[in-house]
Amino acid sequence: MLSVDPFNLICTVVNLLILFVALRIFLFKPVQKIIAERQAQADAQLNEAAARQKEAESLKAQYSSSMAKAEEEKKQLLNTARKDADEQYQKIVEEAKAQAKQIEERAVADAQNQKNRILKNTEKEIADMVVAAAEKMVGTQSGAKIDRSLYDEFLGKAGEEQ
Amino acid sequence: MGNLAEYLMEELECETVFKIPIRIPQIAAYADGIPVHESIVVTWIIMAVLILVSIILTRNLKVDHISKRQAVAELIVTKLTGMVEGMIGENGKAYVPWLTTVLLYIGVANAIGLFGMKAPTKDLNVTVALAAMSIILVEAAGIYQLGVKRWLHKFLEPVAVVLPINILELVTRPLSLCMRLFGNVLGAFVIMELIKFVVPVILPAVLCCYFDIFDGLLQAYVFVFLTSMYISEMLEVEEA
Repeated sequence: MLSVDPFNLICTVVNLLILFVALRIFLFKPVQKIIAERQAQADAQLNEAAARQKEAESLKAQYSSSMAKAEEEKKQLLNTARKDADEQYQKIVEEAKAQAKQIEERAVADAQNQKNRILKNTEKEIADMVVAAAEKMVGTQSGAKIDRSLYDEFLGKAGEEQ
Repeated sequence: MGNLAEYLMEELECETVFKIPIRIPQIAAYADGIPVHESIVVTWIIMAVLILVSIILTRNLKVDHISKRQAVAELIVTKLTGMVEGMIGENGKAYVPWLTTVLLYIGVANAIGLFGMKAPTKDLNVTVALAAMSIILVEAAGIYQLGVKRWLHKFLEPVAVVLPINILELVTRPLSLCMRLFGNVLGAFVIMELIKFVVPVILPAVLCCYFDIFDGLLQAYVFVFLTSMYISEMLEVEEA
């Protein structure tokens, strides 16, 4: 029972070594390999997910920046349009004012001319009437011509005094 | 009582299952052929079972959508290696497969009494072999990791006076490993035989659970724990 037999001792050692190698080949190696593979796969998936998220974030940033840009552009466009419209409006109003002024001036001048002409005509008519009346009263044609020039002179002086 | 003593002695004797017919007349024990003990044959059975089970369990492994079989294989491997790794630490990862093999072997060997076979660990040859391999592994790990010079210097640590004790440890460590395992299994066996002799029913079944399963696995754990502790002790110096 307590004897040590060299052959059996060596047998046990050999048995254990064989068992060790066999378990290594059939149990530890394959299981650890599969676990490592799973780990690698999980790592890869995590990395991929992280990369995707990064990409998504960059896309989002890009999108929001482009949105901001568009907003800015829109604002600018509106501003320029408003300014343009304002200028156009001012221009149109000024033009209209100028035109109105011109029309008014022309009208005033026309009216003045008409008035002058009417006055002249009236003077002439009055002079003619006076001359005719005087002719009728005097009855002579030659004397009348002299009188007419006299009246003209008189009326011209009267107009100046007025 | 004479009967009992005779019976016990017979049970304790390592039976020779067969003899290899090679006669070596120079050695008295081998004059009639080389004897092969029962423990060796039972070890073969254990080896066959362990290898067969691991082949069956690790057949057709997949990365995902694993079968229950694979789940069991992964559970066994990760739990056992995790346990041994916890004992030996991060540095001794290279020694984990060997220690796990020893753990499995001693565990199964101690529990094989449940199947009516004699535990191989009841044979001193087996425990001597196990302990010798352990101490060789410990010292080999020291030489491999530290180099011969520092490994030799380790005998002088922490102070030079302890040199004789350190040298003595080369013998006492495997001796204690071997005798602890052997003594426990043998003691359990003797007590079980005695109890079976006195109370043949029920009580042996209960105590069998304790001695064969609990104590058997505990001894396997202790053996591996001490070996890994010696190894990690050896490797720790490197860090300091």
